[in-house]
Amino acid sequence: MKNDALWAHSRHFLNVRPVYALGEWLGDSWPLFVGYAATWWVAEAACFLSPRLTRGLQANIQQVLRATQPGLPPAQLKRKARSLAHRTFINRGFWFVDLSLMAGRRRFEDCFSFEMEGNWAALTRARAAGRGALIVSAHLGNWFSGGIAVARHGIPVRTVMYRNHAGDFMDQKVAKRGNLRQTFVDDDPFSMMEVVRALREGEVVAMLGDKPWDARSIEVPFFGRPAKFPLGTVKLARLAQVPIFPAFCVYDRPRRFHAILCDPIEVTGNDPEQAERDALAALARVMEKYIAAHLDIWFNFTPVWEEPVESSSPASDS
Amino acid sequence: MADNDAALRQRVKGMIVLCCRLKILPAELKDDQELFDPAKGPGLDSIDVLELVVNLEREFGVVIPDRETGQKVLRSVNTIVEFIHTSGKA
Repeated sequence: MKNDALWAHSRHFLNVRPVYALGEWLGDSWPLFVGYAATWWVAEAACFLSPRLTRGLQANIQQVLRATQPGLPPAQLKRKARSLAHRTFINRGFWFVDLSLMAGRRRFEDCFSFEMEGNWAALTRARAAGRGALIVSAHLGNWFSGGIAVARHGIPVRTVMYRNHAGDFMDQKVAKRGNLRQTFVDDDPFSMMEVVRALREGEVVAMLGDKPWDARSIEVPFFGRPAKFPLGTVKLARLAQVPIFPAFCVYDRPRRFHAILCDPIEVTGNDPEQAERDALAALARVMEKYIAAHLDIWFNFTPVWEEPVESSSPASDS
Repeated sequence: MADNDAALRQRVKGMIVLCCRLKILPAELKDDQELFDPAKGPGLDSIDVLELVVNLEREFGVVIPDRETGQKVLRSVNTIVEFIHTSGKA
């Protein structure tokens, strides 16, 4: 993982520590609607002032719509993508309020509800057999809440995330309140050692697996076109001999989460490279299904596909 | 003893080349080459660390328990071989 790549991606005028501190103060000190209303306006401004992110988001949404609604006329497709991109910005703002509330002093039970859906029995079985498990999510919905849902379900979980981010303090508070163990990874190649060790010792580890930050990625079909996915998740699962559980924490309105755990994917086979490729393709297929169903909370502002559908001007958001 | 050591080095080099999918022959890997420095060696990365840690355990029975040990042991073929020796697994 190269820190430069992460910084190049996450550099944004709102992605600074004071904004995170302000969000937490608003959430703690004011009625909830004040935080959401203020964030709505900030999100509107962010949408207007972030042409690079908006273009990336629209290009991604257009590709999803093209793959899932092939009959959509081009003009309608563009209109729909614009509208969805705008709504995604607002939802991202609300996502931030939810995270601020998780980090703050309000009682969890008063603020959040979690519906557990999917194949949780398979995870219970894997644990009962002494196996670790790798829960892999995407930048869809509220992935932090997904980790918390697992912990509140009585399953100790370690989350893996990147250090060197403006929201580190908030992440740590959320992890502490949600009873999540954390492992930060950085550009030290040895930082993932702790993760493979934890998996081999039977821990449940959760991480995101949809954005490749450096060269170690594989192209697999994704919404009808090849897209790069990071190799780390399938490599970890194969080496630690644990199943991958795709998981998503989605919502129709803030703070009402559906924590969905999908059927496990095993990374096995005589040819390790092929096994990893097959598992990654399977993971991408599961992500497709949930992204298509919740497109306005797919917070992927980085163009997923090599060539964005629309040519872009070199304007910057930073 | 010297023969054993040479054979062990060859096995370690073979394992590194194979599990990290390096496009070189094991013999081309020098004993003191920095494995993670792209300017001085093959420039292995975090994914290769995972392969090395697991394969060292499987093939040589040596456990690298933590990040600090990994940083010391996985520096070069020499340091890996030394670790196998001191672990009494050679």
